[in-house]
Amino acid sequence: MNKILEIKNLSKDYHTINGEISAIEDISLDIYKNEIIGIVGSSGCGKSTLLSILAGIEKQSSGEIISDNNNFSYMLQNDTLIPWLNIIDNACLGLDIKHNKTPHNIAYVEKLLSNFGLSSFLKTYPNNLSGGMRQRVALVRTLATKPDIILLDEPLSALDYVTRLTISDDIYKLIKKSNVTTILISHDIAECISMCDRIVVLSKRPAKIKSIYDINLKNPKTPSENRRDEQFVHYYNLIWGDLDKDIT
Amino acid sequence: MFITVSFITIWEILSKQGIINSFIFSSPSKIIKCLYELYLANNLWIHIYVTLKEIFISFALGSIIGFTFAVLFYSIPILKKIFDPFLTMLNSLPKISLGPLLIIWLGANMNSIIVMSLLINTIVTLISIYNGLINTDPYKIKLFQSFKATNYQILTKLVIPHNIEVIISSLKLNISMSLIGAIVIWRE
Repeated sequence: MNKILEIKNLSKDYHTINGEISAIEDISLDIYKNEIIGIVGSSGCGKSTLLSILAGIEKQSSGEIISDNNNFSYMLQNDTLIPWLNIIDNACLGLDIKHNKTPHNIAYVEKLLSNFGLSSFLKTYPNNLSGGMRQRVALVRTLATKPDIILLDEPLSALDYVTRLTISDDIYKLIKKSNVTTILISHDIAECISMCDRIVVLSKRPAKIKSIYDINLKNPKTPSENRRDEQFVHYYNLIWGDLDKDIT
Repeated sequence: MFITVSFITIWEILSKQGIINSFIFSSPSKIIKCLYELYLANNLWIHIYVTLKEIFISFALGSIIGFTFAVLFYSIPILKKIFDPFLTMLNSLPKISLGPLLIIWLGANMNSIIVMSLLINTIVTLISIYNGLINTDPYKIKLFQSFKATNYQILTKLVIPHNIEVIISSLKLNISMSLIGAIVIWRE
């Protein structure tokens, strides 16, 4: 597999009035093209900080990120749809900012929205949509700029359990169809196992890599079906065992 | 409508009955009589025109200056830190007491009225708009940053539209502050 991103000895410290707080310590990780890699860890361990650094919103204190001018796109924890823009304008927000809102790209976005059954909601405003629909629009917005790597920061955390299962299937299908490399952060181990090719377990703060698991399910299909795979419980116990040591 | 009519009626009754001093509080009938006399003397419309002109000029200038400085302080935080003590001092100054000084410095004319209104309305506009701008949803700012938006794009496509309601509220406040400024100097 081709490497698309190399993270080398990445560290991040915050300077506060109480002294320096280390959020991330010496993380090294290779990410391969077209893979979906999950990152799990306890709350506040530094997962979102890692994603913010990769997205270029924050700067690392030390270490290197080596990528071939890759185009990142970041989907934040809540859908952050802009309330005064309709759905098509929200989905095209990244294109608008990058001065790339051409008719061809708008048509591409409309196609992505219709894949999610949202073609009749293009002129609707976000406050008239359900949580699941809003999350789908946020994902389309993330994919609209045709990124090389998408960063998903707990994309399903605000949704109820049943909607999460449905949306995770939708997200998975769209990611696979778009052939885009994905880094997914989730508190939900089951979600990561059902969607990811590999899972990185981070320690509690400062975040360090505790372990990396290759997920080889017996009959990989959609995320909701993967939860019934024979190997699912085995991986869940492995990863939970790692996380549990941090809690106890 | 009912509240307005009730208020006017109660005011008139209290004034006529001598329960409130009609010299200090006036009464609706006295106001109507005064307006009618001004109208007969062909003075009414010129006074209304001049006062409205003063209010409009001070409202427009106060809004533009307040909005501009709020955006400047948001965009260049060091400026806010430098000017903050002066703004606090100016805001806590009893501006109404400056009325006589303004008349001496600028004359008993429209200039002193406009300056008095500006002293009252600009700081209030600036502070309320600035507080709105700095309280823009940080997740939305992060979203724009993730798309490598410039500071100008973040300001024009997110921060200002996000704060339209705050800006309109401060303009409503500005109108009443402008009126107060115009009336205070007139009374001086």
